Amino acid sequence: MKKILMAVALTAVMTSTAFAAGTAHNNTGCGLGTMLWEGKADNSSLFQAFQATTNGTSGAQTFGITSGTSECQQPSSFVQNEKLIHFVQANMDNLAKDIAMGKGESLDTFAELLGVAPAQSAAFNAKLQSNFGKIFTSENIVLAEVIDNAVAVANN
Amino acid sequence: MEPVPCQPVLRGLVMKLPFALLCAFSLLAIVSSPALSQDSYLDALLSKADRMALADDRNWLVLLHYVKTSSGGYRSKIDDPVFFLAADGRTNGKAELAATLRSMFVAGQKDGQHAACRFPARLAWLSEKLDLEASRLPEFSCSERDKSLGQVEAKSAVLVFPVGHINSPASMFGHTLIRIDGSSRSNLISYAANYSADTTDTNGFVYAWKGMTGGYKGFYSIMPYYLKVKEYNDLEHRDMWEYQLSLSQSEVGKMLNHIWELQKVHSSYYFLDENCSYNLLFLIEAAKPELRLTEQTGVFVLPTQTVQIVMNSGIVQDVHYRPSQGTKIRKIVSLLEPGGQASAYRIALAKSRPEAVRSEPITDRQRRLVLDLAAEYLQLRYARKEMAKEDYNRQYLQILGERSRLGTPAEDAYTIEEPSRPETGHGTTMAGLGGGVRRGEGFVELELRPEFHGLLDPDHGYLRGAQIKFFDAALRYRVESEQIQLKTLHILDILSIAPRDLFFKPISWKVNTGFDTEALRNGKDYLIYRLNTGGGLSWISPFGGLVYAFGELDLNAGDKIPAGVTIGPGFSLGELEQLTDWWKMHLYARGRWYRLGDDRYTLKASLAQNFRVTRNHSVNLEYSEEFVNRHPIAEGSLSWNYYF
Repeated sequence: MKKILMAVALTAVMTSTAFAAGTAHNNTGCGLGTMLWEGKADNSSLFQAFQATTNGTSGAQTFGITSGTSECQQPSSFVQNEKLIHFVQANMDNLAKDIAMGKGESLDTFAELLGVAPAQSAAFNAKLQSNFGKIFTSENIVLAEVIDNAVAVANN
Repeated sequence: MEPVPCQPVLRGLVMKLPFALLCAFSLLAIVSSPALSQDSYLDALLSKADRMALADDRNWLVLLHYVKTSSGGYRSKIDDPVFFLAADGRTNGKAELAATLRSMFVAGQKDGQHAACRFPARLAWLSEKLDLEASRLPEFSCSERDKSLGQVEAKSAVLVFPVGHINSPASMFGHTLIRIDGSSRSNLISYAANYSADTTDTNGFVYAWKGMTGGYKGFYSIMPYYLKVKEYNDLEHRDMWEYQLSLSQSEVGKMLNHIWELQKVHSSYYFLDENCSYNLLFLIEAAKPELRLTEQTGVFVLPTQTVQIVMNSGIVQDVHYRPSQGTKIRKIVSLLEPGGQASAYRIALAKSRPEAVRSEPITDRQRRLVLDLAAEYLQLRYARKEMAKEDYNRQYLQILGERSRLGTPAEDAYTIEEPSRPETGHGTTMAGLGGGVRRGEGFVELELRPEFHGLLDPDHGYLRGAQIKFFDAALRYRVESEQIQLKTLHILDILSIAPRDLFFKPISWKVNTGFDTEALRNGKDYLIYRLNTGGGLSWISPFGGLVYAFGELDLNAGDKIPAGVTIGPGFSLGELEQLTDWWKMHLYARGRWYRLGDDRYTLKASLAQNFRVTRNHSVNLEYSEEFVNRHPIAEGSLSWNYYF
C-alpha cells in the first residue's frame, strides 16, 4: 500500500495545474459541518415553502473548471493536488460517513484521487474504517489533517 | 501534428482530439513566420465562406444561438454584446462570420487575447469547413483556456435531471444540466455545465414575477459535479436522473469548446421558455447540430419535455438513478422496526449515546441501520439549522466512530429500487372529453390543461401528492337547457401533499385562483372568481397511500354574491390511494362557510378514480354529493384524458 501511495503523491504533483481566479466555492470552512448552501435544505416551515430555491442560482456566473487555491492549511503529503484538496474540503462530512460505513461514492472518489488501484480499494476502505478514530481525531479537524492522517493510516 | 509544445502547459494530461487540434494551431503558428499574403488569404477565405453560404449553415446558427424570427430573419437568444464580434452580430450571421474570420488574423496579441482564445468552437468549425491552414494564422497562445479545457478532459457527456421539489415553487418542474466526464472512474469529480438565473432574491413572489418577465440575467456556468450533487441530492433532497448521451469524444470536445465561448455571457432568463432546459439544448446541438433540438420546443419549455426531446433524438444510451439523501433516509426507515427508528431518532437528538446500541438486544445489521440513520438524520438537522456546528461536529463523529466498529456487510444494505423514470410519465398537456349528470341533467364536458400534472393523474414519472396546473379550462354543454357554460378557468392550481413521519415534518399547502361555476345560496350555478389557499398536514396511510387534513381560506367574487365578494374558512380531509399500478383513488370531504358578505355554507363529499390505460391515456370516474344551504346536488361524470 505504501508504494502505491508514494507513487501517487508524485503523479498528483505532476498533473495538478496552476489555477485561475474565480473559485466555485462559497464556503470558508476547512473542517466538518461546512455546508455550501446553508439553509436551503428541505425545510418544514410554511414560510420556507414560499422561498425561492436555487435550481443552481448560487454562483451562476461561476466558471470553476480550475479549482483556485484553497484558503485552508495544506496537507504535507499532497501539497499540490488541488483537486483532492477541494474535493475533501467540499465533501468532508460525506467522506467521514463513507469511511465509517466502509464504502460509498465519496470514499471511492477519495481513493481514486489518492491513486489507490481499484484492486486495492477494498483493503484501503477496510483499513480506513477500522482506523476511523485515527483519521478523524477531533471535531475541530481540518482537511489537511484528514488527508495526512488517512495517508498515514493507509501506509501503516 | 506532434503536440509536444503543449505538454508543459498540460503537464502530462492525455491529449484530447479537438484540443490537440487547437494546440497544433498554436504550434504551427509559432514555427511559421506570418505570411505576407495574410490579407489576400483572409480575402480568399471570406469569399469562399460567402460562396459556401456558411453563415446559413446549421452549425453556425447553433454556435450563435440563432433562432428564426417572425419576419424570416434570425436573431440570437443571447443579448450580451460581448458575445458578438460584429456590431450587428446578434441578427446578422454573415457579418458575424466575417468579423470572426477577420479577428482570427489579428496579429501580435498577448497571451489569451486572441479571438481563438475566446471562440475555440467557432475557429475549429470554420477551419474544418474552409480547410483553413493553421500555419497561416498569426502567432497566438491561450494558456488559460488550454489549462482549463485540458483539466476537464472531455470524453463523454451526460444529461442530468434533478426532479422537482414541490415544496419550493421555484424548482417544482425540476432542472437540467450537462455533466462532462473525463477519464476518472468517479463522476463526482467530473464537471457540470449549467444555465441558470443570477439571482439573490429569496422571496418566492418577487422571484416568480421577475422570472416570468425576464428580469433576471441567465449565465452558463461550469463547476465540479460534486457541488451539484451536494446541492440537489443532499441539501434539497431531489433525486437525480443521469442520461448517458451517445456523443463521440470529438463531439463532446466541440460542446466543451462552445461552453467556453459562453462564459460570462448573459442573456435574459425566462422561467417558462428561455430557461435552464431550453438553453442547455444549445450545448447538445453544439456537439451535434443536426439534432435540431431547440426547434422542437413548444411555448413553455419544461425540463421533463427537454428530457423527452433528447430521448426522442435517439442519443440516450443509458439511464442512471441517483437517489437523494431524503430517499436514502426513507429507505433505511423502511428497513427498521419502530423501536430501531426511535433509537436512531434519540441518538440524533443527543438523548442517548451512540454506544447505547451495544447493549440493545438487536443484531449487528440492525445496529448498523440505526447508526446510519442517526448519522443521516443528524446531517439533515444540521442542514436545517436545528443545531450549532460544534454540537453537530461532536455528535457526528461520535456516531460515526461507533459505526466504524461494526464493519461493512457484504451485501448492499440499501439498494433503492428505481422509481418510474421521468420520461415514462404522461405528456404535460392534457385534453379531456367526457360527460355526466348533475342534478339529473346531462352534460358534455371538454377540458384543456396546457400544463402539467393533476392530483388524480397517473403518478408514473411524477412526484406523488403534487399537483401543478396552469390555465386548466373546462367548458360544459348542458343537454336539456342547451347552454354552454365556462365551468372552470384556473389560472394556477398548486397542491402539495407531503407526508410527515418521525424524521420529516413538512407542511402541506395549496394555492389556486381562477373562475369556477358553483352553486350559490339559492342552490343554482353561477360563475364566480376564486382565490383559495390553505395549509395542512399529511401522513402515510395504513395502505401506503396519503391521508391529509387542510385548513383553508376561500375568497369568492361575483355579482350573484350579495356583497359582491365574500371570504370564509374551510377544511378538507382526504385520502389518496394507489390501489394497483393502474388504479388510483381519491376520497375527500370538504366544508366551507361564508358569513362575511354572503350567507352560505357548502359541504361536499367525493370519490374520484383514475384508470391508467397507457402512458398517455387515462379515464376518470367521479361521483360527488354536495349540500349548499340544504340544496342537495349530486353529480357523476366519466371522462377520457389524452396527454401529449
